Amino acid sequence: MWELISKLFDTSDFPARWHCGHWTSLHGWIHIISDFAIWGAYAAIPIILYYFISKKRDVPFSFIFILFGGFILSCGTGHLVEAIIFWHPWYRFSALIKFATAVISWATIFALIPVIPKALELKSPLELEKIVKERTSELERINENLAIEVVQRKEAEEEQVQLAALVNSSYDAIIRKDLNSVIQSWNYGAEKIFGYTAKEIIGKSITVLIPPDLLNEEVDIMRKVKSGGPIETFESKRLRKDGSTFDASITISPINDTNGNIIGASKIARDITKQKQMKKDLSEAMEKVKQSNQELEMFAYVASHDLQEPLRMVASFTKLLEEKYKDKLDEKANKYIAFSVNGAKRMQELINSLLDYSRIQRADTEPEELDCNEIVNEVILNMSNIKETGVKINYLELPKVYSNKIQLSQVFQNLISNAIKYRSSRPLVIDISAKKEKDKWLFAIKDNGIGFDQEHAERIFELFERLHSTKSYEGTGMGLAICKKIIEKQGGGIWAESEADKGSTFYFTLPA
Amino acid sequence: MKEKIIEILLVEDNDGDVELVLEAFKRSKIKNNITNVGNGIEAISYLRKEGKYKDLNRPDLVILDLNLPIKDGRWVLTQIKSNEDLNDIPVIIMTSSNSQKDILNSYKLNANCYITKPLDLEEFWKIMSSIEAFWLSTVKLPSYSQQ
Repeated sequence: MWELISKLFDTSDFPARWHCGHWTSLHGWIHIISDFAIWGAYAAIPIILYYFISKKRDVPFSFIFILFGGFILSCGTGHLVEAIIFWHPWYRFSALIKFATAVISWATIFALIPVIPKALELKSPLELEKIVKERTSELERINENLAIEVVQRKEAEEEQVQLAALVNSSYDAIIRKDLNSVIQSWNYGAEKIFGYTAKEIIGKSITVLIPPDLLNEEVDIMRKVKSGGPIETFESKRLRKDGSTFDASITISPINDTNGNIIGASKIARDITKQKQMKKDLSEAMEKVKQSNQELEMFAYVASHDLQEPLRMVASFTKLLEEKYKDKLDEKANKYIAFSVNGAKRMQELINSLLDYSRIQRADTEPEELDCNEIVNEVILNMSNIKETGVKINYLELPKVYSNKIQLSQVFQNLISNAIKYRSSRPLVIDISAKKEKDKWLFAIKDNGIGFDQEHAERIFELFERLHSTKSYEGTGMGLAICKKIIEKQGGGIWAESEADKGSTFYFTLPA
Repeated sequence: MKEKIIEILLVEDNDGDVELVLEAFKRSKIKNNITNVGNGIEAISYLRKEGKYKDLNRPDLVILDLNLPIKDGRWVLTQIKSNEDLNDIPVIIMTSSNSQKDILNSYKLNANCYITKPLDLEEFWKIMSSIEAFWLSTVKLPSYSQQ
C-alpha cells in the first residue's frame, strides 16, 4: 500500500504505453486525443455545473451536483492520465484516480437513491405552470373577497364616523363609562350640559356628576348594569361643573363586547329643567283655570239663587197689586202694572233657566242605565198642558242608554216643549225615534210645526238666541243652549234640520 | 163654645213676606191672630213670655223662617223643641232655602213640617190655603184641650 503511494509517479516499473505492444500512430493518437477530449469535456462540465449552481443559488440537492461534478472531474482526470500514460506510465496514479472515481461514483449512486423520490416530486414546468395558474386564480378569489371585505370595512367605518358624528352633534349628554364608573367618552352635548370638557372629565369617576346625597344611585345603577338588566329611563338631579344642580332625565344601557360580555355602560342624560318647569307652569295654569271655572260656576249659581229672593218680592207684589187694585186704578196704571208683572215673570224664568244651565256642569251623579221610553213617558206626563194642545207624540222602542236621569229628561222636555210651542195651525205630530250608528245612538225629534230657515240652525243653540220676539212666543232662549250643554257634556252632539213652514227635526247623539 | 182665635207666631224678618203671609191669613175663613217678630231672640222672648211679651197669649202655631238676623231659625227651632214648656207647639218652617241639608236638618231638630217659599204668587196662595186647611182646620192642635 505504502509503495503505491510513495511511488505514485514512479515510472521505473512500467513501459510507456507507446512501447507496450504494437501501436499504430492512428490507433494510439485516437486513444490519446479521445482521452484528452474526454478530460476536457469532463473538466468543462463540472465548471458549467459550478457556474450553474453559483448562479442559481436555490438549486435543490446541490450536493448531488457537487458529487456529479466530483465524479465527472475525477473520471475526466482518469482519462487524462490514460493519455499521459502513453508517454509517462503513471499506472499507480492512474489506479488512485480510478479508485477515487469509483468511490465518488458509488457515493453518488448512494446519494442519489434517497433523492430520487424527492426529485420525482419536483414539478415540471408544465405542472408548475398549472400550479401557478391555480394559485393565481385562488389569489384572485382571495383578492376579490378582500376587496369586498375592504368595502364592508369602509362602510362600517363610515357608519362609525356617522355614528360618532351623531353622538357628538346630539344636544343630549352621551357618556360612556366602564364597569368601575370611570368616564371613557364624553360628547359635545355632555360638555354643554355639564360644563366639563372631554379632556377634563375623561378618566374621572361618573360620581363627580352626581349630587352627594344621591350617590347611592350610581351603586344601584352599576349593579343593574352588571346583571345585564334593562334600566328604565328615570328622572333625577345631576351636578354641573359650576356646582349647580339640574333636573335630568337619564337612560342607561349596558355596553357589550363582541363576545357578549358587559364591559361598561352608556348614559344619556337630558336636561329637563325647562321641561319640568313648563309642566309645572302648565299644571299650575290648569289649576287656575279649573279654579276660575269653579268660581264662575259658583258665581252663576249664587247669582241666580240670590237674585230669586228680591225677584220674588217684585213678582209677588206686582201681582198682588194687580189683584187688589185692578178695579181701583185707571187703565194706564193697570197697563203699567201688567208690564211689571210680565217683566218680573220673564225674569224669574230667565233666572231659573240660568240656574239650570249653571247646574249642569256641577251635577255629577253617576250615570245609570235609563230606558228612554220611560223617560219620555214621564216627561210627557209632567207637561200639564199637553192634552190641551191636542198633540200626538209617537215614540217607539227607544233604546236604553247610560246617562244622568234629570239631565236627559231635561233634554227631552226642552225639545218636546219647543215642538209644542212652535207648532203651526195643523195638528201637531211629534215623532221621536232612535237609530244605532256604530258606537252611538242617534235620536231624532221630528215635528210638523212652523220650522225655521236652515241658515239659523246653528244660532239657535246659542245662549239667549231666539228667532222670535217674546211677543209672539214666550221663552228665555236658553232651552236649546241647555240641551246642547247637557248633550256635549255626555260626549254627544246636537243639531237641527228644518224648513220654514214645514217643520223641524232635532237630532242628538249619545254614546251607546 | 166660642170660636177660638188661633194664635200664630210668625218669625220672619222680610217685611214683604210678612205682608204676604198676613194677606193670606186675612183671606182665611178661620179666625186667627198673627204676631210677627223679626229675629230669633225676640221669638224666644215672646214664647217665654218675657219682658214686654209677659201678658200675651201662647201661640198655637209657629211659622218660622230659617234666615233671621242675630239668631237664626235653626237656633230658635232648637230652643223651642228642647224646652219642656214649648216643645208641643207645632213649628212650620217656611223659608226660601231648597237645600236638602236644610230640610233634613230641620226635621232632625223636630220641625213639624218644612215649606219652601214659592216664587209664584199663585203658588203662594195655594200653599197658604193648604196650611190653613191643614193646620188650622184639619189637625187638632195641642192647645185644643185648653179651650
